[in-house]
Amino acid sequence: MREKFTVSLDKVLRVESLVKHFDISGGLLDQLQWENGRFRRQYTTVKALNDVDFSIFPGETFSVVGESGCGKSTLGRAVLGLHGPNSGKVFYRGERIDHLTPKQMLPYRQKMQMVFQDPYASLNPRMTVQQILEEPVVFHNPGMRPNEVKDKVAAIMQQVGVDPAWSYRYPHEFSGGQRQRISIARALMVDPEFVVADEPISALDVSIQAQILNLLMDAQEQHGLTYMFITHDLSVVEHFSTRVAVMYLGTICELARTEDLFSHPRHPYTQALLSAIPRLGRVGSSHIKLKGEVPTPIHLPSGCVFHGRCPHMRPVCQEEIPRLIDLENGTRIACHGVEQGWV
Amino acid sequence: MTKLLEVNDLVVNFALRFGDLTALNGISFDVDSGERLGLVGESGAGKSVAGFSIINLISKPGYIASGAVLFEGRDISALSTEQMRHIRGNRISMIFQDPMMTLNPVLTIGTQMVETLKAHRPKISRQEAERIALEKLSQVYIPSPEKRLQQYPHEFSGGMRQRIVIAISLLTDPALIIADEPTTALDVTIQAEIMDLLMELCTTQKMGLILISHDLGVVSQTTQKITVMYAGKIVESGPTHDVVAAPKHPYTQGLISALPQGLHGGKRLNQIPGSMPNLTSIPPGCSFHPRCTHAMDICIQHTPELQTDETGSRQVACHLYG
Repeated sequence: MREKFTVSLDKVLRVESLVKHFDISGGLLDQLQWENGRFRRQYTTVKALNDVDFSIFPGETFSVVGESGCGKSTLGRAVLGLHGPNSGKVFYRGERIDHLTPKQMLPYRQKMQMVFQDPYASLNPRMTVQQILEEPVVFHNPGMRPNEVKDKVAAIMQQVGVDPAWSYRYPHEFSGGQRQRISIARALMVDPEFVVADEPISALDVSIQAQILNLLMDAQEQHGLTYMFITHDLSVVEHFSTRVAVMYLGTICELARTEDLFSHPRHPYTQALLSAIPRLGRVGSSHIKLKGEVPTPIHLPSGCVFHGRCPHMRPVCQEEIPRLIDLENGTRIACHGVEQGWV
Repeated sequence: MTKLLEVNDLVVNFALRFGDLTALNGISFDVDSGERLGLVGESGAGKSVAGFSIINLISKPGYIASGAVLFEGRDISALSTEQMRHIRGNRISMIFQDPMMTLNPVLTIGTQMVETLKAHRPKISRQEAERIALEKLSQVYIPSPEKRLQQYPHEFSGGMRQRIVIAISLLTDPALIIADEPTTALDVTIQAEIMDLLMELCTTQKMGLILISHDLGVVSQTTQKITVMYAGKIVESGPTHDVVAAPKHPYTQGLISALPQGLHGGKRLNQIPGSMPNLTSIPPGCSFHPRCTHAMDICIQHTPELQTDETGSRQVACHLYG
């Protein structure tokens, strides 16, 4: 018991069987269904996260990848408490945080920050950069002297590569790349330990993407940050992360160190996903073709959520949900085929 | 032998209150039947304007200031709206980025397909039009096409919708397809399927393809020739394989080395400093010089011309090469 406790302390974040379902059934009239001569009330839920388990270690870049609708953004938000989970636990440095009140959550908010995808939508257009950057510091450290705050804003702006002389400009006066720099600066203002970045570069051009990725890597080094990096861009993941979790329909199907995942993907879905990455200099494509399409998260398939599209499907996959098992090199995988040795 | 499409020294301006803004500054390229050309560049490079201007779709205040677009040997840049209608959507089709914006949400797929055919072939019967629609839907691998004809766009997934858009563009058996970021809104696995489909169609139907994309990975896998654009100009062009393997222009080099390739995981990426200039303030000389690591004095004073190298297949506009 004691052993388990110490283990959990050195993890920045631990998530245990997290479940998040969204009720989309609407009003009472939308819920009523006529069935066998009487009305029945029926709820419709989107099963965004189903039993997700993982831990993030200090200083690492933990990437979550998957296609649209797989629940990766919901996971990022649930971890920060922006979505309250239906069940499951979230631990930050060994302390459970998923059931805290907003007030109890405050000290953790300072430690955990978020960078959003769209720098056009995430900065208040009516605030100057100075105000945007000051707000979080003043909120979390009410005692700080105005001069100190100003110095801090200037220092962080310098660090993210935005000229501090521009601090009285409004967000619309900046380009997309510069705005994303400002969003990152805002996250760094409160000296966080853990940053969730939800597709921070997908709205940017290629040459600007490289600038922002470099900035994120520099910030990680200088501030000792731990990242949870949510993206659909697999080549960025390969370059940038320590470990990768591949998600499909609200479940983690494979979690491995980046080198292991990209050199030896084990899960059939990971294999198909990686084979579809466009690569420079490769002529033609030889990607694994999956049959069918991603099912809706409203009616999840029975058993393994991937079974309908899997080339290695066997009857057991339709009946039993595969457990996340540990392999010898630390890879965790949820697949009956790998577990029983036919994939 | 005339090429299928030849664009010669095309200049496209936008007439604004304070004068003309040059969006395309003298670009030339060509595509042959069955050939696949990639137009690459970042946002604002003018790649979409290039695609639109081929079929004269640039809306006011934009206009073609000079240059020619030769399609099957005939200049189509100055045709009247009525004459253009026989070519646009008929001999040259265009596929756009967002299939939901391209399809009409209140009409069934069948209606939209029959409508397109009737617009181009007024004498066609409804039965015949439906037969062609079914044939094209199965050509893009849509399962049970008879049932699908009766459905509305919202009943399809993103990948399926883009297949339908492709099927519609194939209805009139075009000689050339212009695809403007056709897979940018789609997931990687679906992107791979759509690109496969486009490549297969080019080969079997002998169609030319102009693929406009910001994604060098996709372009390098799909096309035979590549044209790299920067601030309204072509900076480099040549056979895709050669350009990607040994880029000559510093911008192309920067663009390729800025891509995370997984070879040097965790290392800093090679970044190009700064960002693409605004069209209102294009720097004098070579428009890339403020961001270029090799910039010399001549780069500020003289605009480099696009020059063909000794092999005759590659072109680059940079003072480093002569």
